Amino acid sequence: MSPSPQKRREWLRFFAFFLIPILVLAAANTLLMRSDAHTYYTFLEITQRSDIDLALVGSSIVFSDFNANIITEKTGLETFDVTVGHMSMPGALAATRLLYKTNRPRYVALVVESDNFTKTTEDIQAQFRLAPFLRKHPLIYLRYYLDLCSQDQKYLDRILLFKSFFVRDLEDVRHTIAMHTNPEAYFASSGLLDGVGVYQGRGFLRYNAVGNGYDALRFTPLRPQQADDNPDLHEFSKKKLLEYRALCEKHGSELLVIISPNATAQGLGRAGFLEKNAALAEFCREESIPCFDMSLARPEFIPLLDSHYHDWYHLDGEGADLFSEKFADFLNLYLAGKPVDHLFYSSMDEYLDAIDFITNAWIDQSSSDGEDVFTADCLHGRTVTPEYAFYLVGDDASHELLQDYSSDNTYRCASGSLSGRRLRVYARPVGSQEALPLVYADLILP
Amino acid sequence: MSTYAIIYQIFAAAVLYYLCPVRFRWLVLLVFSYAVFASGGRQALVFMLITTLSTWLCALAIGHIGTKNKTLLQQSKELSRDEKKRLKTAARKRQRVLLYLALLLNFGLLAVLKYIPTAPTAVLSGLYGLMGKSGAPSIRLFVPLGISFYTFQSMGYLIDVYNGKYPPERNVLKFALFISFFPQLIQGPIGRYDALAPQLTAGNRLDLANIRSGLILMLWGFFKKKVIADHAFPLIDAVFADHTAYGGAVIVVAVLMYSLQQYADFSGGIDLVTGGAELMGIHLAPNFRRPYFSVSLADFWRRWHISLGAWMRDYVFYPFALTRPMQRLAKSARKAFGADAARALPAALGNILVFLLVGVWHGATGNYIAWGMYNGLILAASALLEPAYRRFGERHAGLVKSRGFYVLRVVRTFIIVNIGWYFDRCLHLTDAFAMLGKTLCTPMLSQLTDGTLLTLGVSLGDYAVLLGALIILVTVSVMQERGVSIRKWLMTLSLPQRWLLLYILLFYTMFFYVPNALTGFIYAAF
Repeated sequence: MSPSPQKRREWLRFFAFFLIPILVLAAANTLLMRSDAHTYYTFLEITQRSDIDLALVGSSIVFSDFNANIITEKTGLETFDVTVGHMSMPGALAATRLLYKTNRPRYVALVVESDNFTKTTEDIQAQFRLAPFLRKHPLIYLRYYLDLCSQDQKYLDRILLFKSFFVRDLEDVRHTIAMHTNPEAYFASSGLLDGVGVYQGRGFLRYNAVGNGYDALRFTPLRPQQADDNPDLHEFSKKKLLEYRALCEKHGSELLVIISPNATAQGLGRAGFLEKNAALAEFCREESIPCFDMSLARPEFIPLLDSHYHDWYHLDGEGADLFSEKFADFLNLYLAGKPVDHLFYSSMDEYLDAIDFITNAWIDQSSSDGEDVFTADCLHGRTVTPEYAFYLVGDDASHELLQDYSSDNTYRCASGSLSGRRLRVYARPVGSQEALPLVYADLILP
Repeated sequence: MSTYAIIYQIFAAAVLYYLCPVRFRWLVLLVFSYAVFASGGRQALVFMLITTLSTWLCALAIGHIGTKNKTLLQQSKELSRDEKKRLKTAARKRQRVLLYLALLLNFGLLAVLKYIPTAPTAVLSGLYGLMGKSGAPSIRLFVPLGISFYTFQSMGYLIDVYNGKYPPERNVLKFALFISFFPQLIQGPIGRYDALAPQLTAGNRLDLANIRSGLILMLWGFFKKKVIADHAFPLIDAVFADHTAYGGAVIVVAVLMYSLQQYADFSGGIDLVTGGAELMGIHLAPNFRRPYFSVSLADFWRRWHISLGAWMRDYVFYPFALTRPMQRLAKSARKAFGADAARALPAALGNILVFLLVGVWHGATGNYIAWGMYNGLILAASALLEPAYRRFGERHAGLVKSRGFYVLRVVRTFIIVNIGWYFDRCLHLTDAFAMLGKTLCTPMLSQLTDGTLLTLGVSLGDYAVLLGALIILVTVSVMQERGVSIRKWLMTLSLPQRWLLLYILLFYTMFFYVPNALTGFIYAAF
């Protein structure tokens, strides 16, 4: 029995009620949200071209580390960084589905930080960045949304996206409107992104080499006891990687998994960090997915130093160029069917055994029997025995030796006697003759 | 479980419910309820099954004993009165044993899981110790979602069957649905079998009125939870986590905020699930009736967490007050102090017992027990002073009926309740006393104006949002207190008027809810 006209009218009114909120929501999510220039440039370029041979898919680590221009030049493969900051597997799937709308790359290199496989959720920042492009493809967006919500249950936050990324001022509004209406003007208005990087095409973002990343690495002590990494791969991410493989196969792309390079201090300082990489590589091996761990690249192959890092995770422009050249060499060998195993350490242990330097040091202060006790410590390779020297450093960088190099890592003095002074500890491997090595830590005493 | 998850689960359940043929709809609810329940951990199913099966079987056995005994008595007309009485007593005794066994099993399980989840570790350590070994494994028991609520609900059913209020449910699946109906698992309300079970199994038809009404209630609940409770949370958390930096004035603000948060969180959550159930044509028992308009503490507890209060009244208070020792005490009191005391004394002691249990139910820690005792003692004193109040009312009828006196009583009750919140919200009992001491002795009023209130995770904008939300909440509450049924009233308005009001609420919620706040419901923890 069909409903009476009266009932039908009531139902129509009921559904009509939701039209205005839906329109308001759509407008808010489009116009009242900040915009992300890098993602915009990247996806605008992707949609404008159809010649991509090699897609490097991943989070910010891809656009900072992989200079697609160099890789294109050296491999002859038209390479593109398909990247969105903070994205992990759900984002990678969605971004790759978008890529396939206009391109059929022969190779897809999924660049992962193993964190993505051990974290349970993808940061909402990735959705914010991808949303303007996904909105044009509702089915891809819906799958992505359901993936995300099944992880973190943020159903509403992820619908009312504007709430988390609300425009801060009229400039934001102007910028966002320009993004949707006048891409050229938008592009011209923000060449330098976030004041630190320059978009150089093909998705690549060059971080200025003048950054203070190395100082951050040296002077932000990454202490082993602070590590909380769980090396177990998350089931959800494993499932998504297999889904990713199926997606690539469906579109005729060959999948490679690349584990990103990392500063040495990460491997030394974060318990479980290298184990996570190893677990991911093992999972890929079990599933017959080619996987290469760039953090295990031999220094004679990729001579990256911690000083090439812009911050804890990303390479600066110089580091990216160096790494990209070497990565292209690796690809050329691999795609030509030549052996590449010799370019990498065979295991995590071999890698750790090969580290013969100290990455960073720190000082802790305590009191005992009316004395101030300063204890130095450092992150160092397995073969290194560290020794420490304690100095007082003046404002004019003058050094006053308090305790010369020895394996004794503590310095004691009368309580408060160093008040107002800058205490510095230098750390070097036993056997080194360097008087003032690069690795030191300061403590300014109150 | 997050606020959003429960909303989505309810919507998904409603869609499946109506997609299914009418006679199977209750099965959809059962399957969905078990799926939601298991999503919190599959071990939960074991505990749910223990409670469901033990209660169902005991209720069946109790019912069977009762029926058999009744038949026997009807058939054996030649039996003497004494023999009949003996038969009846023996049957009652068997029923009582079954009842006590089920109560012991289920409340025992609740107590162990809720209060000593580390019990297996202690037992194993003891056993290892006896065997002279060390390194006993550490096992922490899994606490299932909503165990308090479904245990209370199932035990209420069993006691009702024991008391002959209704016959036992013969279909184990229908009974399982009554115990596990998922919207009320989070924080109640605690349903009664005779009111809830028929609705669950009826196979309700799609009705726009139910959908509309349910959605409006859900929106209202969401507004309370996500706009009011979540905005108030940071300040409360900051002050109660470390009150040492704050004077009494800021502490009072935190307590008042807690009053608001707790009401908005709990009643908002209840509105969400009640509205959600209404989508499927199921009407849950009301759990709140504007408690901050109460004129006495007893009135407050008749308006706050109504289903728990009613459960305590029916299954603890009255049975306790009617026990032989209490009856004897009442008799002695009558002789010594008169009829009023005879009536008041069992009630006073019953209140103390009930609130001691309510305190323990919140948590077996000093602050909750003190909070329970605080309420119990005030209610006991009120019960004992009730004759004096009555006489005062008779002598000053005009005053008692005046608007001013009503407001005075409401304010007095509000203050009494808020003093109790110090104990309920503090981390340790000593904190509650310290905070009360500061409230009275070191208010530090300057902290109200020197910007301290803006350093507690609540910005000026947040205060403005809260104020706006409070105005909406108070307006609606006053209307309800005057007997207006808001949802019915809305339907009497013209379409533009109705939509305008609903849009104000909807957009206020949409634009001012707190994103990324995965604060669950407060009462889900109990």
